[in-house]
Amino acid sequence: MFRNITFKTIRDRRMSLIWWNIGFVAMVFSIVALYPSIKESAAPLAEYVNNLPDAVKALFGGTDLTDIASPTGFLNAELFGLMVPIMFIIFATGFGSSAIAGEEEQGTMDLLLANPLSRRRVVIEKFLALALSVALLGFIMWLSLVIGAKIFDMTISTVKLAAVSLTSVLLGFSFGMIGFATGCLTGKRGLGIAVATIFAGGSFIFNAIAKLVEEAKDYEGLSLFYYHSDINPLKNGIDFGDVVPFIAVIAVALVVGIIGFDRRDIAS
Amino acid sequence: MAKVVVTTKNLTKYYGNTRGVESLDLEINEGEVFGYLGPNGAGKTTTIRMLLDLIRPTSGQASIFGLSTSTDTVKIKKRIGYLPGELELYKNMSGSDLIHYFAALRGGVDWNLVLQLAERFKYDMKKPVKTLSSGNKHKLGLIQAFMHSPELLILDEPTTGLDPLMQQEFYRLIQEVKKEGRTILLSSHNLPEVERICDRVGVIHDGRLITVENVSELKSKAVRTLEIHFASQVTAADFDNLEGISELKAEGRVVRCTVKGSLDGLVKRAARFEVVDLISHEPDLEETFLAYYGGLAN
Ligand SMILES: Nc1ncnc2c1ncn2[C@@H]1O[C@H](COP(=O)(O)OP(=O)(O)O)[C@@H](O)[C@H]1O
Ligand SMILES: [Mg+2]
Repeated sequence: MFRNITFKTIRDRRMSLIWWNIGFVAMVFSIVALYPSIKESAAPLAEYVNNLPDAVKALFGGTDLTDIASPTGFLNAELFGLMVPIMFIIFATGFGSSAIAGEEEQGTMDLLLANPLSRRRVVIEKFLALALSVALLGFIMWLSLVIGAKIFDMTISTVKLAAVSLTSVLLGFSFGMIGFATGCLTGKRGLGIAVATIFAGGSFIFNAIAKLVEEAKDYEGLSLFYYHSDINPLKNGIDFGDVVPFIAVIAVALVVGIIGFDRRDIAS
Repeated sequence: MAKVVVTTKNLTKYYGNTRGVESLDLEINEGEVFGYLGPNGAGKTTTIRMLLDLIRPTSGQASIFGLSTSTDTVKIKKRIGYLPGELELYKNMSGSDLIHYFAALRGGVDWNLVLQLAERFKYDMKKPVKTLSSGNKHKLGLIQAFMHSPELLILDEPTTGLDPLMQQEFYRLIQEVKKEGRTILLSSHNLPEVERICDRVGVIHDGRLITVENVSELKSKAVRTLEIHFASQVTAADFDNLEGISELKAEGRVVRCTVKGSLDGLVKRAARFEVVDLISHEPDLEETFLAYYGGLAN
């Protein structure tokens, strides 16, 4: 576990990782377990949802809500519309913001960088630690969904579950990388979390507004939530083009992080 | 002519408007123990962290082994061992895990040497870092600095927090490293320590290098306060016309004074009377600087 910075960083967070994964399994199962009873009372529920104000519907990521009795509609409403994105964002932002900045605030960066490593190497290894951790969480979520769907008689494509798990991971990872890059630039973990949260909150609100306000509609693609919610990967699946915006954000944040960390003084 | 290992040219660091160090020109030769001496806030840590490329010079440059610290830092770091002045370690690891980690990142560490160092410093590698006393943390810091037998050791206040016994062990280690022809740069705010283990000393004060001298020269300039207790009454007149003595006061059976350089004259004069006790206070660094270099520093 101490062979490189990536593994060591993951090991440092092993307890947190274990609890997050347990939490995700519990969250998925407790929601999926509700599905059989929801299916029963489908008609009145669909009517209730249909009568919700548009603004409320917009917050839940789209029109599919009326379809709450179908597995796709149900999972989108209960998990992927809000809960899962928030969880991934919180996880990735906490991890990403402290990846570089946390080590600096602890004061251990001096010793780490006394080893014959370039700063770029340190940033990339920390980045890989974040990527692996958030991917693991996504994989565990997907696995829980597949198993949960089997147990609770939910007919849904495992491939499309994988698609929505991937966009969930990428959504969280993207905002996590904003925290990561901020940490690389400033060495301040708290600032990383704050900046990432502002971006995530702003994107979420903008995505909701774009559904309600005609003028904003043309710019809906500016919010990363669009590529998770509106594309509706659970229903439509995804192709490579759909994940490009996430990859672009992650790549830019990584480059900014590398350059930012390389240029400045390490806090003492 | 010995090879020069560390060179700085006009090296300057400002933190915003605060001066860290200014126009530093330093040369450290291969195989010497170089003491970097100065009171707190003088700029020792600033200099050392620039050599490690942890902070970047405002102007000027530094090189180690003839390689630029700003472009070849990875190559340089392969060949040096570093002990930070403010040592922080991973609290969630054991000492052994931590050394394993750094050994893996560095590569080419002889584990026997690690065990030997741990034994020398009576350091228990199994204990979690968070339970270690500051002295033990310091030992861990020293082990990681020495474990790969680096050509150059850069140690920022290496004896702070070590108990006296371990300090002696550290001094012995330094002598061994020196015998092997390796180079040591260590900072200190303790003049006797530097006098004891170093060959040459660079004195820094307020961000400026005031002088670089051989230790013997420095000794001859040290200022210390002395207190002599006699069996009977003495007067100030008994001690007049002595070279290097100032601020002499005789009160009853006790004489207090400040001595610059050699104590010989004073001790011989005191021997005319019955001496009960002789107390020499550690030379005060600040006073030494002010007495000798105060003019230059401005
Ligand atoms: N990160 C920093 N930000 C601002 N000022 C600093 C910083 N680090 C050091 N200084 C200032 O630079 C000067 C030199 O400090 P330092 O190199 O730590 O001295 P020393 O190691 O000799 O005690 C001091 O005046 C100190 O206050
Ligand atoms: Mg210092």
